[in-house]
Amino acid sequence: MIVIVGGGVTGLSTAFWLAREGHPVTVVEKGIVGWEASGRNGGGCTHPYSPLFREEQRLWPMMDELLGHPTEWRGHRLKVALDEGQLDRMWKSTTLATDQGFEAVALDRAELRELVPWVGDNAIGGIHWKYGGHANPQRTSQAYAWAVERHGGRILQHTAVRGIRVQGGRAVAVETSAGEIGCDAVVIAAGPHTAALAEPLGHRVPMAPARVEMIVTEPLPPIAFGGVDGNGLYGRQTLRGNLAYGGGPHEWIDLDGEATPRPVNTPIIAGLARRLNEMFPRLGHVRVIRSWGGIVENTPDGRPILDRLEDPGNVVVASMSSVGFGLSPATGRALAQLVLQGFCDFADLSQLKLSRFGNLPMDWRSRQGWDALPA
Amino acid sequence: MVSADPTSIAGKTFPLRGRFDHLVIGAGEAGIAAARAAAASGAKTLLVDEHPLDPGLFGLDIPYLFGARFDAAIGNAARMEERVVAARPDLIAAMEDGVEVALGTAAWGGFVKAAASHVFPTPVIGLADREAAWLVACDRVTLAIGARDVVLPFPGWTLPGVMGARGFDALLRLYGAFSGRRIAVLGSDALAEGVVTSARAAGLEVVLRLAAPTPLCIAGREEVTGLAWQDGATWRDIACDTVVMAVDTVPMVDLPELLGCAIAWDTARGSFVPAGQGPVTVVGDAAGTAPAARDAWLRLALAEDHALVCACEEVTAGDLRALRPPRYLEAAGPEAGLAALGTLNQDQVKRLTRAGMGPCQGRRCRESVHALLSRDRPAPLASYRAPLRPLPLSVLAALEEDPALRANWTGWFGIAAQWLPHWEPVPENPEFIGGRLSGEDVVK
Repeated sequence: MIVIVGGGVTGLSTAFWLAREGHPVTVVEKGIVGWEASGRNGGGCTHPYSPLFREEQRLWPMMDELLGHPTEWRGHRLKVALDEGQLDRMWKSTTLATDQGFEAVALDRAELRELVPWVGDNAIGGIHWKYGGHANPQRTSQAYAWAVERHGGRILQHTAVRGIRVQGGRAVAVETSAGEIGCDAVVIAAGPHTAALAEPLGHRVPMAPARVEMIVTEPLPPIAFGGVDGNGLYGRQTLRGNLAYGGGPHEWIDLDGEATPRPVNTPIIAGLARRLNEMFPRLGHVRVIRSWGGIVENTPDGRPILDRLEDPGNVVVASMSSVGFGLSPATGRALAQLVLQGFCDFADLSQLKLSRFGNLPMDWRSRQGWDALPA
Repeated sequence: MVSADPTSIAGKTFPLRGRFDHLVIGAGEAGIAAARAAAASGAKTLLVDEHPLDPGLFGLDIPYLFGARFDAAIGNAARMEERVVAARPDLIAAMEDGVEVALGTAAWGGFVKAAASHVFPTPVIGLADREAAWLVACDRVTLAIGARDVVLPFPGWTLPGVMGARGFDALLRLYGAFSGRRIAVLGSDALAEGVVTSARAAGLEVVLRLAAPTPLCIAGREEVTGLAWQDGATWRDIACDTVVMAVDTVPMVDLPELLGCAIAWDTARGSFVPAGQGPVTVVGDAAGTAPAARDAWLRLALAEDHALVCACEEVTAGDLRALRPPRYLEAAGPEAGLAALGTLNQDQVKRLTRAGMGPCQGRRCRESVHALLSRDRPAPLASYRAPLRPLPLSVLAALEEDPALRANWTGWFGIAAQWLPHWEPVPENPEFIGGRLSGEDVVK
């Protein structure tokens, strides 16, 4: 039995790939699957700085069929620049993908407006990424969960993990609020709670939780490629037509116990509206109907930890450092390989080991200015 | 001493347009009384009310079910403000008592200290008129925000002419802009009595009053032309231009929820009811409405799978039972339908079916969805989020902003190494290329 701790996209995808190959898996989730950051993010599927990028791009077009439920995935992304500085940075991140053989095309204002009729005269141009894309986070998370069950895996919702029992250098059982589950391997993919779950095993997994926010508008007629970023915002037009956008300041927080606190909103949502209206000046009349928030975790360098521990040797630790949704099809497959064979045969994960933080000072959060605001 | 992460919310301020000892939201009877009492005790008091509404909201049925039975006068802001003041003479008395009054001012957000946010140690409320959004701070806040209409999703309910008791009352008595003539009223309690009484007082014709729950069908092509209902073994019908659903109203618990109030299901009243907390007091209908016979009516309306529950997103009772993805996906739900989810949660069902996810944010379908999801026990409250009124981008964008916020705005955190190849070690002095705005580089 392989026990996955955490029913977010990373854990669910890992469980999916394992269950699909016939391995017995149990996902233990303290709440509802995909309920936290996994189900409430920007839905982006474009991460050229990741060693999993190529696999991310290969897998997304197949996910609806693999999972048996719609993920709402759509390909391509568009970048809108309002000044030269923005355009310059966009090209820098574009190069990460074009260096790997993916195609991107420069757009002048007229060409950009052909694709995104909402941009105004303040746009200087943009880039058409003929790779990447976006999907519906909640629908995808749920699709993973149903696919796991269809392949014979088990998902325990509303079940909290209280500890991992180790014997002879191996994890032998996961202790939960609903009793103990014997195990041959464990994957800890519990988002910001991963650190607390790994600590009793003698491992410090450095991460800091933070709260981030998004807004959504009423639906607009769909445009050709809904994944349009710019002006300090990430987001997309959903297939239904709503504009869902995030960005801006995060709030570093502290967790209190095993619960994830409700990710409330702040007036930052007005800053999101301001920047969305700057990017799409023709949409001033479009109504913002809702906002939401999510709790994510970041490691000290903002990069994932995807690592099978040496002791206990059958435990894999996974944190995507606040950017996990889009990569999840590939991450899950990589983690399944870490569980089964101890290495990933399709991506170089050598820089994503926990050991890179071995010399990290205890007060690293304070040193990076990442402390929570005073209570 | 290390300075705080410049791309975080630390050190950013949120400019306020005012600071009050006491803010009262909602200028109905309870709100005016609370504001006058606060002012009498020497508190610097602001009383706000969203009426007269942004005309665009009438068509969206926000905050009440207006059913498009309003005349063109609602577009005249000055005239509507005069009418609102005329309908509530105590507003003048409140002003004479020293209460600052802001009409046409909606409360769209409430920000308090929470486990996941320490930005606001004392309450800050987001307000907006038709031009701009702004923030005010207050030591105490009284919510007198009233109740909203409950829709019974019988066939034809989305036709112009189908309205709620609150919508009817607002158009008739607050705005003087009700455009119907022949009215059928559903409901047996004081709410329906009130509709009948005020309709007759206004010289309108009440052609039918259906007190006992029964299957019914609202007729009409472009708008309501009649109502058919089951009467024993036969169906009867009557001509009318307006159907007022006056079976029940429920407290507006949206702002209480944002302000950290506990919201509990009250079995006796059949609705969620808020409890004040700390600086927040809830008064009037917002604190609880009279019990009503809603369940039997809703059960009848929801019995048929084709009952249109969520009009914004076109979700039927059958779609909800099957947990069917939205129509544009042309996909089936899980074989087990709703049972595939185990414990039912309205927010989860919303995200999968889109019921309650449209511009009206479930104002017209929350009670129907809740009834469908409540089996052996009531389903939990579906969450609320700001903006509690749908604000145009330009209005929300007009909120005054701290220059430090603009200078440090990033698309996603400010961690330079996050955006550079993860197959290479973290460079010594990584350049930040992740989604920054123009301007001076503040992120190193």
